[in-house]
Order: sequence, then C-alpha cells, then structure tokens
Amino acid sequence: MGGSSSSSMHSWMHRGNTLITFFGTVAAVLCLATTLTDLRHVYTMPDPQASVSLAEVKRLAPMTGSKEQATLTFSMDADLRSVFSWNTKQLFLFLQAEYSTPDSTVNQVVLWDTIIQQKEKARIRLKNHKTKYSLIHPSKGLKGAPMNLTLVWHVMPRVGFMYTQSRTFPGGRLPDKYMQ
Amino acid sequence: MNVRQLVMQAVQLGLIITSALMIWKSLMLVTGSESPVVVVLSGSMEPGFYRGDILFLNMGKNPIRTGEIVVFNLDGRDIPIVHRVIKVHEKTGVNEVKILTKGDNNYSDDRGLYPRGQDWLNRDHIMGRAMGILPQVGMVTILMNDYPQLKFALIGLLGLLVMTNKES
Repeated sequence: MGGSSSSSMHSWMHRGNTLITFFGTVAAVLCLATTLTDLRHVYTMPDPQASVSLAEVKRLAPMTGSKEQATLTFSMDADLRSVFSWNTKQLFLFLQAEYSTPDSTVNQVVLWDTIIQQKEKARIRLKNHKTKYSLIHPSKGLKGAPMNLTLVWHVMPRVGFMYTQSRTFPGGRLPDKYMQ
Repeated sequence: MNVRQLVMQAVQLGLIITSALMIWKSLMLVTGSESPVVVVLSGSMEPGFYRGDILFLNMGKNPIRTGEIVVFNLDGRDIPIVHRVIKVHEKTGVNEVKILTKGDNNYSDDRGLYPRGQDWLNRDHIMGRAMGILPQVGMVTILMNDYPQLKFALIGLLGLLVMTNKES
C-alpha cells in the first residue's frame, strides 16, 4: 500500500479507533466505580424500617379448576428512604404471601407491588389496604395454611448490580373454613 | 516480506476472534447461563429496563424465588423474554416447580404469552437471572439487527483497522 491519501485516511481511522477505545475504557471504569460506591452504600446505610400486618381475610373460596382463592387486606408502614443512593433508579417494592400446604411446601404469591422512583416517596403508610392481586392457589390446601407476609424491595440501579432486601412478618393461619 | 505480513495480519485477526469466543465461553461457564449477556428488546420492564439496556445474567443453583428477574425461553419462540417472577409453587417431595412471570410495565401476567394451555414455567424454561445492568449500550446490536448493512460496514471497518494496524 502507500500513497499520501491512503495513509492519511489510515491515520484518521487510527485516531478514531484510539479515541473510541479510550472513551470506552473510561466509561467502563466509571461504571465500575459507580457500582462500587453502591456496594459501600449497602453496608453503611441505616437500616430501613418496615412493618406489615394482615388486616383481614375477606374471603376464602374454591374456584373452578379445583383452585382456591383468598382475598385479604393488609396494613403497612415502611420507611425505605435510606435505601436510595445516587445510583438508585428505582425500588420495585412488593408484598408477598408465603405459605405451605400439605402437597406443596414452598408457595410464594405476590399480592401487591409498586415502583418507587424518588427517595421522598419511599415513606409508605397503608391501612387496611386491598391487595392488587388476589391470592390464588393452583390446587386445594389454603384452608388452615400457616402464612407469612414478606415485604421485598428490589433495588434497581442506573448502572451496576441489583440486589434485594426483605422483611418477613407472621400472617397467622388462613381460616379453617371457606368464607364468602 | 509481504507473505510474512499477510500471515501476521491473519493471525492477529484470528487472535481477536478466538479471544472474543474464549471470553464468551468462559462467561458461560462461570455464570452457568447459556447466554450470560442479553439485550433488552421491549419496554415491558420499564422504567427499570429500557430497550437497549444490557443485562448480565447468572443461573446459579439456588431455587427461583419471587421478585427475581429471569430470562426465559418459550417453546416456539425465538426471542427470550426478560420478566419478573411473581408466583412460585414448589411441590413437596418431587423436584417440580411452577413459576409465573409478569413484566413490571404490563397490566397482566404472562399467561397470555405462554403457549396455549401452558399456565406455568418450570426450571427448564429459565435461562438465567438478571444480576446487573448496563444502560443503553445494547442499542448498537438493536441497530445492527434493524439495519444489517450497518453490521457489515462495522465488520468491514474493524477488519480494515486490523489489516492496516501494523503499518503505522
């Protein structure tokens, strides 16, 4: 090869290549540093506060297809403001029922969820609140089942690793009889 | 001299391709996922994930739990889906689990996406769990998929760079 025009084109291309590589490296290092600050935040943040209780079981009834459905209300008082760091995009906060039945030991059903994008909105109080999704079990076994309520927040960053934290509260036993 | 140079360039090109392959395969081994990195293709997880975000996956041995964001493959569908687990039922005694998913930005769960008659996912459908996010970088691959000419132009450009690398 050779010729002044082609070599100048090559030097232009190599400059571009170097620039893009440098930009990429700097961006990668910055992303890594950002996610490391989050790691530090997880270990140093004040403990988030949360309490959840079952308010009332409104209904427990059989459904078609030998399923069962329970309708509940709950109360919640949570302060998750300390979870937010500069790199937090949002919290995906949800409440789930965890129970066991004779033929299935582990059952987790999400009852309610919300997305929190601002730190100031991470202070949540709900009283006798309806669940967003009803508790449907795919077979029989809800009657008398022991249940826990777990509040989980999935912390989703702008860049880097995601993590979850949770608090579990006793929800008592579901009623022994169907109630409409 | 010219032959030597040509061979050098070919070796260099081969080195780049094989090291990329090696990195990908080692990632597969470490994460236990058949595709350790995926690009978000839809807005069904907004505002958590946007189209073009890159997700890093890990499979792991732990049982699947609610709240995890999993990537799953449905029978008869080419493109894997990234959604959140909202229900888990594990049967006693046998290694059988029922999993239901939903996109954060969707109103209803994913039963409408599953093939007719399928109400649940099981462990075999799951390709990995999302562990980390890198925003927007995957937009390049989306553009390359939408405009294949761009892909060839980029590959050509990279090839040209490698071929002319030793000259300067």
